[in-house]
Amino acid sequence: MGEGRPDQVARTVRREPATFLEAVAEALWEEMERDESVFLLGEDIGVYGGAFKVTRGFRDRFGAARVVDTPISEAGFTGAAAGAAHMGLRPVVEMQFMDFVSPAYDIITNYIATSRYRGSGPQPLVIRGPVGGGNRAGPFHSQNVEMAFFHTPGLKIVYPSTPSDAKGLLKAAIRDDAPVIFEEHKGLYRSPEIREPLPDDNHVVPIGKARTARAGEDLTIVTYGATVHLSHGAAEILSDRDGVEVEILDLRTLLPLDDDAIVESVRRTNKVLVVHEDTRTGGIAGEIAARINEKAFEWLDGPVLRVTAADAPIPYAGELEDYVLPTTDDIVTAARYLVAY
Amino acid sequence: MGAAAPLDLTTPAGDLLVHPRPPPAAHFLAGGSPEDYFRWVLGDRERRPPALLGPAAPLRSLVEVAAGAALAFRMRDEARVAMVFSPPGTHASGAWHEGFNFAAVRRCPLVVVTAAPDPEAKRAAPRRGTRLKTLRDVCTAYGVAGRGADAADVTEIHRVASEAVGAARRGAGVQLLELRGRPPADGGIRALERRLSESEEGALGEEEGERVAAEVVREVEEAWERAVSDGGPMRPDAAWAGRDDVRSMEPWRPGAEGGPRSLDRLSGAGKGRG
Repeated sequence: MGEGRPDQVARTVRREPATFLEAVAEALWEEMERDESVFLLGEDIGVYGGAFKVTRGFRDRFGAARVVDTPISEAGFTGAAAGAAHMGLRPVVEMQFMDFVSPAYDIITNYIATSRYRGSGPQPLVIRGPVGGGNRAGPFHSQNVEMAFFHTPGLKIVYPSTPSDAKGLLKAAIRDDAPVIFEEHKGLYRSPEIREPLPDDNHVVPIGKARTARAGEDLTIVTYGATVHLSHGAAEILSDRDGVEVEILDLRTLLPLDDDAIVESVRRTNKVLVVHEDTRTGGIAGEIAARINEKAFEWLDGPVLRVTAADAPIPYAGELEDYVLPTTDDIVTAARYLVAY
Repeated sequence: MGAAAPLDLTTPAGDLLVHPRPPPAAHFLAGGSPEDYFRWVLGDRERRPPALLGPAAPLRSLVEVAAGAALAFRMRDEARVAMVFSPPGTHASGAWHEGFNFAAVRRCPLVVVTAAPDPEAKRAAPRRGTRLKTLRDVCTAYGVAGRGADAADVTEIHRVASEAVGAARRGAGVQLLELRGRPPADGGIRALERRLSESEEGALGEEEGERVAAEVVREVEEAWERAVSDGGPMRPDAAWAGRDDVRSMEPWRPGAEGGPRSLDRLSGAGKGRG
């Protein structure tokens, strides 16, 4: 089974559970097989197979023309992706680390995001790559970039937490006519705990729809990405030790936010904790709190609280990194405060 | 526009012109009508001729985008060429160099048209944007071909641009066309007229010229009237590209589902204090 496929895209055809990274790779492989207009650009994604080996073997199957090794020039090749998208192709840009998207901020926010609005047509492209801390990788290889783009109309932002969602949402992103920023937490890439069988190649998860990752009636945790799993750990502790049943809402898409799902959960639990790994000030938790304030104020029985990373770059020192990033204990502590409010 | 004249802009799957602003001449060169032009400027996206891409900005990003379009041609094995007008001074940006280098590395069928450094220019970008006397020296660094033409001579521009477009179409990769000096206010038309007067066909007489000018003014005015006759394309949805969620997050708007004070929202609210 899966003859001719690199290992990282053969799990589903072999009926084996897949990691998050393999799910991303499967989505890319299947979309490239389905649609000849899909192609990849990025640094060392071809011959080398990518820094995390997501695209290992892709060049052999799809050729150098569709797996484009680029110079180290994030602005240049992201801009080139925009031009190719204008010509009817569907580029998928890999940022080796999403921290490196900052040189391309100009072309993404000024050109790509505004294209449809100023009459230059849709920009069906995806900019994807690894994000997140906890890997002792320091400030240049650990950032979460969602809030650098959240304020930009015209973009979509997707941040999955499970292999199944990673596959289905990446397929949806590639098929979308809007530009999509697709964040993949590198801590999830090879995590054995979240390996799972993946749906087949027809599996597409709609962008803009949150999912209830855990049902509960005492408190809602709104979260996404790797902190979904921290929240699960906290929920188990709260259930076992406090008898508190936490509902976990996995946003999956950050732009556009699924307001309906958030409000629906708030109406049932009346208390909300927003958890994310991104830093606190100007983080998405603030926007979520504002929307709950606008749309569900009467249902609240306590303040909307935030558990986030501290307002600091990710330090090199492991102990300091642990101090900066949110933990399961932080979530448990905040939840207990909120439940008792 | 003399540089763009050698492009095939009017047939399906022809060439592509990437430009920083919406010049009417580019529209007409690409087969658009004056009414198309006005409607497009007013927000009707369907009126842009497919051979045009723009207005594209920021100016420094034009070369990157054009390189990607040309990459698409190359990937699909199409004999198409992209031409980009890169305004004076933009070569000083990192984006320009990243786009130019990308196009060079991938041998994209791209012609970059730009202005030579101009020590007499009033604006700083063309005057002090580089220590080079000619940007054709940049080509050496990137391993691509560079050509020059007199900015005041539209026929020379056409001839040299034809060479550049031909080379790009034959697979020679990115080409730089540098225009030296400044075009006169008439865009080189006087030079063209002088050459025509020296030719057997001769230039337009004064009376004939005035007749043509009056005809152009009449046609443009009628096109404008037609473009705005039905209220124009300036609908609100033109501002947000068909998205329907732009205003949906404002519960205070009349008609919004369940405003914060509505009885519907208050009933059954809050476990403790509802």
